[in-house]
Amino acid sequence: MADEAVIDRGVLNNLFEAVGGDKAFLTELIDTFFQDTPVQLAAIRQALSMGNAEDFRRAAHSLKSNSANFGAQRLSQQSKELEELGKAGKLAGVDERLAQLEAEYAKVKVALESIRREA
Amino acid sequence: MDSNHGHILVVDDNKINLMMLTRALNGQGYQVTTARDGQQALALLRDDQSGPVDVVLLDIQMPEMDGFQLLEQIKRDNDLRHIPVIMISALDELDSVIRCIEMGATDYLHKPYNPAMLQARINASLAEKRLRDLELEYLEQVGHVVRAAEAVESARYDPGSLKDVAGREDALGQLARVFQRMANEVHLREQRLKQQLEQLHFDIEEMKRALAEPLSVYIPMDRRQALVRGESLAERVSGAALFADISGFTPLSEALAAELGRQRGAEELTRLLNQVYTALIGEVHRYHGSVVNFSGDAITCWIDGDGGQRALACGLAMQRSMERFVTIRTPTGSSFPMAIKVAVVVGPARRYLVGEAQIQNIEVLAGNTLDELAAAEHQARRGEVIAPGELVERFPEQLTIAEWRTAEETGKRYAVIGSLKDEVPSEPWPDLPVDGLSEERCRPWLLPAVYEQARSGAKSFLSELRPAGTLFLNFKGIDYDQDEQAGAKLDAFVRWVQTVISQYEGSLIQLTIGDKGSYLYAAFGAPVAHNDDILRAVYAALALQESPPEMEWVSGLQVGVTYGQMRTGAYGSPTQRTYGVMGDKVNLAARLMQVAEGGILCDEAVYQAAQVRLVFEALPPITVKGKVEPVAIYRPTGEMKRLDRSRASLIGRTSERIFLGECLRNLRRGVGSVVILEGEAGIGKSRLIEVVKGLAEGLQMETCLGLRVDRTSTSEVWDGCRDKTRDLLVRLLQEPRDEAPKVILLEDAQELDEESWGLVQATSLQVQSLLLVIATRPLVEPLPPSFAQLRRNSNLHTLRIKALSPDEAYLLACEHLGVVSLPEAVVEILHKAAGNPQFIEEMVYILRDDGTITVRDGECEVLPHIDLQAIAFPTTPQGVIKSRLDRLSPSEQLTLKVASVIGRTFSLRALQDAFPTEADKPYLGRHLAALKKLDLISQTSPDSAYTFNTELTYETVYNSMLFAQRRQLHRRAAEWIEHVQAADLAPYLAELADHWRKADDPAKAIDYLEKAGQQALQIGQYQEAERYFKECLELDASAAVLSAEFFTQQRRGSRVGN
Repeated sequence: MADEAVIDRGVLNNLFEAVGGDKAFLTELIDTFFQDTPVQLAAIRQALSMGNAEDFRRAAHSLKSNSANFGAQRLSQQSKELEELGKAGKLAGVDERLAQLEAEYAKVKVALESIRREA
Repeated sequence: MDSNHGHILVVDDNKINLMMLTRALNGQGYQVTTARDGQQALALLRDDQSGPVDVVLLDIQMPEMDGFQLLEQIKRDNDLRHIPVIMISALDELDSVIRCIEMGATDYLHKPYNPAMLQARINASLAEKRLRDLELEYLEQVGHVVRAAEAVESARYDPGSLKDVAGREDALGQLARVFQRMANEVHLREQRLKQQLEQLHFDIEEMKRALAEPLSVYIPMDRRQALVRGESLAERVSGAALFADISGFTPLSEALAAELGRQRGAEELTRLLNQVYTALIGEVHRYHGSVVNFSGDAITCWIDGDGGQRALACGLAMQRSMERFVTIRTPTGSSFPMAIKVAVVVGPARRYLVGEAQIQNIEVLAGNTLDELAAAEHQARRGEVIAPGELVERFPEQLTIAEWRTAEETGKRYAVIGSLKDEVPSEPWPDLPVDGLSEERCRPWLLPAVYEQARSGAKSFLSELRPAGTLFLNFKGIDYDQDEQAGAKLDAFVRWVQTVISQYEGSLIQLTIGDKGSYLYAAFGAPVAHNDDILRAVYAALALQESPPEMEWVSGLQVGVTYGQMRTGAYGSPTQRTYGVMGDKVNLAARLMQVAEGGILCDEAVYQAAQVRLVFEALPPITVKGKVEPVAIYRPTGEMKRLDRSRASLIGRTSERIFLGECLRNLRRGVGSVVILEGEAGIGKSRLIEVVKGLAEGLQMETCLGLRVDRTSTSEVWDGCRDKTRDLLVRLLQEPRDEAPKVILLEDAQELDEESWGLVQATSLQVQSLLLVIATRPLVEPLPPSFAQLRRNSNLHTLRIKALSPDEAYLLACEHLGVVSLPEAVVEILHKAAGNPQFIEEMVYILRDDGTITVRDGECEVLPHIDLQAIAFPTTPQGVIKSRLDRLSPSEQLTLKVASVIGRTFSLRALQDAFPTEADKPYLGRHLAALKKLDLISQTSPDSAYTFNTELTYETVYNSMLFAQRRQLHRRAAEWIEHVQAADLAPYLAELADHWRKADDPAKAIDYLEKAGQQALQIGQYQEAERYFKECLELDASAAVLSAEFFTQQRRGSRVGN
């Protein structure tokens, strides 16, 4: 299933357990992720346009760890790759990857929205 | 801090992470604070209000200040570095984690969190934090102890500073408690030292002031002013009389005696008394009044021409000035109330100056107004100013009355004054020129002995505790208001009394005129002491029983006589002083006088001491105000007893008596011998001489008493005795063939010179049928050659009279008291007499006369709550010495005193340098020569050092000084040694330590003791060293360190020795 590839349910279940099975809190976390991620993506874009590798790296790092929490493995992996590029200062030619990242987030968002509704 | 309720600071810029951690940690019971970056976290950590943080969870990746930077800040901050930091990291940040651990982070956690792992890590860190906190607290409290130790060293120690640490139950707590106890002792001692220092300053100030004080302070202010103006005071005067009575000194006096010992207690009391009088007399003088009479703890004042307003204002001001003395604290902190009551009257009075100017001028206020004053005083209570109703009604607008009171007997009304509405202006006396009155002009206002002492600059040395006889003489027959001759009559009467009293070398202390009869108070034993002051007082009483025929108007003569310890000396204020003799027995003598019914009444002490010479009649005991037990009273009949000393039982001395009896029996057979009775003063030689005399007389033998020195006499009499002895011996030598058995008894043979010994030796060889008994104190080398020769006579026997055994001492004491057994406490202090019979006798009599022990129906009891051990006993030989000392000039007395501070042996140079008054220094050689002549001191050759002849003289002189005086003289002596021997103090260390200790300067004493101890150690004198260090320890507990050092060295030293 497509959403299986987007969200690792095992990880998400762990998270659910970690918050003590509190669905309301899980919903709150997901809402925060939805608020936060566009901010991070915008930060990545802006850092790229400014050529600020460090800001680029940190925003990618944040997105990496947040998405990992929810089991969005591919989004997390892509963020990690961007983080490493930022760390290495190799911002040239990351536009393509950034577009992929944004596309991946759109998928994650859909998947999480459906999970949120279930919750 | 509860195990699951630590306070955790989570630092992460990631909102979701924060939410999740907060959620998880809250769920586990922790208090959570969050920060989004390093700066915010640091601010929170340093903010006291958010509460201390126990664990920090720290994300590495953050904007602004990242995890590394924050960690570095935390570890650099002394207040924060001990807080455990757990790093939050992603799995791929292991390198960073390692770096953080190296920087001091405690642990790490991977994201995403495993809740169990999270809790485990946090708990481990919290546990570590708790241990660390305990450790820190421990170190902090060790720090308290260390700081307290530093504070003790720099004398800033606060006794409360170790309270928390000392409350711990562990070893640190114990250490703190031990330390606290020691430090408190040191602290207390320092406080005491400070007090002593203040006291010393006061003493010195007092002494300086006394030295600058003119003798005119002994003259009432109005008289003083008149004398300076060359005027005399009118005899008929009109004005206000004020009486102020201080209450509270008696219980205070007893408490101070108990706390400080009797002598220091008396000194301290005089000091307080002077402070109070300075305040009170200041007010009297401020309102233009004069203190006309002191009577014990009361003063009678006169404000001439005053209608009462000034006197009342003065009385109220006196009450105000007493406010700071309301509670007097003794050195150990007990408090005693002190108050005055004041009475004021107005009216006409007589102002007389009576008495034999050669002896002393007596100031008198007399007349009806003074009787009214006495009546008003009876109505006053502590803290009040009282005046008769008619006085306050003169100016009703100006006064508020606190209370009206009516006298029961007379119905007279008195007002207790509340306040004065308007201020009454004060009117101080004009200052007198310093040299306004010469010492010679002031002389008649001082007792001759007081004048001599005061003039020699020894003013402050006058205050003393000593036994004295008290005589109160009541008289009537003068009408001070109507009789124009009243003044002349009083003068004649006082002159007669003064003359009689001076015949017995007593001193008139006080004259009080009253409507119920007037009285005179005389003291015997102060300011000049004799061996037989009690007898002198009774003789004087007997002589005062009948007034001379030309004073037929005198009536109502009756006398009370008592004997006991008295506070004697000058007291008052720097502007008005008197010489006083005060004590419990003064009141008793006054009371006995009142009930004497035209005769003489004596107390138990007088009876016991005088009954050997005089016949007394025992009367039924009377009750006395202030005494629970009835007081035994005795009336002297005037008959004298025949002196019969051989009746006195001889306890012990059995073998000596048998031996002397044998000598007498041999003499009857024609075999003569020479017996030397050798022993210390008071050991009983004279008693044995009496025994020989009695036995010889019984055997009808011719007895001659040779040298017998009345030890109170002066040197001329001594010489006279020597001459008499010589004449006797020469007469015997002229008839050597006379075969009648003869007994010659020589006493005090230690006084014989070489020539006399020669005669004694010749007599012993040439005169037939002679028993020569020679009583002498042990003679010191070099012996007179003839004495040495005498000792080689074949028929000579020396009996060394030894101390009594404890059993004999016990029996003797029982004998003197007329009891069969003694309380244990008395037995214990009998040891102090060291078996000397005379000491034992004096001791038990002193105890009995003091009332410390009582004898009833053959039983002896000790007064409860009395520590006999604390009583300082004068002993008879000391008493003898003391009365001899009193006859020396003040300069000679001071010479001996300064010498005694230097030591039993002293050089003229040391004496000169240590002498406190410059004016005397050129005369010291002369004083020493005089003292030598009196056999108080001696010199082996003209240039050698001087030595006190006996240990007893030395001790008596030394002990007769006031502590303040001793301190001052020891200080001078120490400073002199330090100055003269500055090049090498080594031989003088112990001596210096001793001086400084006696000068009340423990710091210096310790310093020298320490040096003396080190010196002794270096030369291997371990016992000496130990003694010094022990003395050191007694002076200062902090010297414990020293002692430890010493014992280590001693062990080392003895190992070397082995």
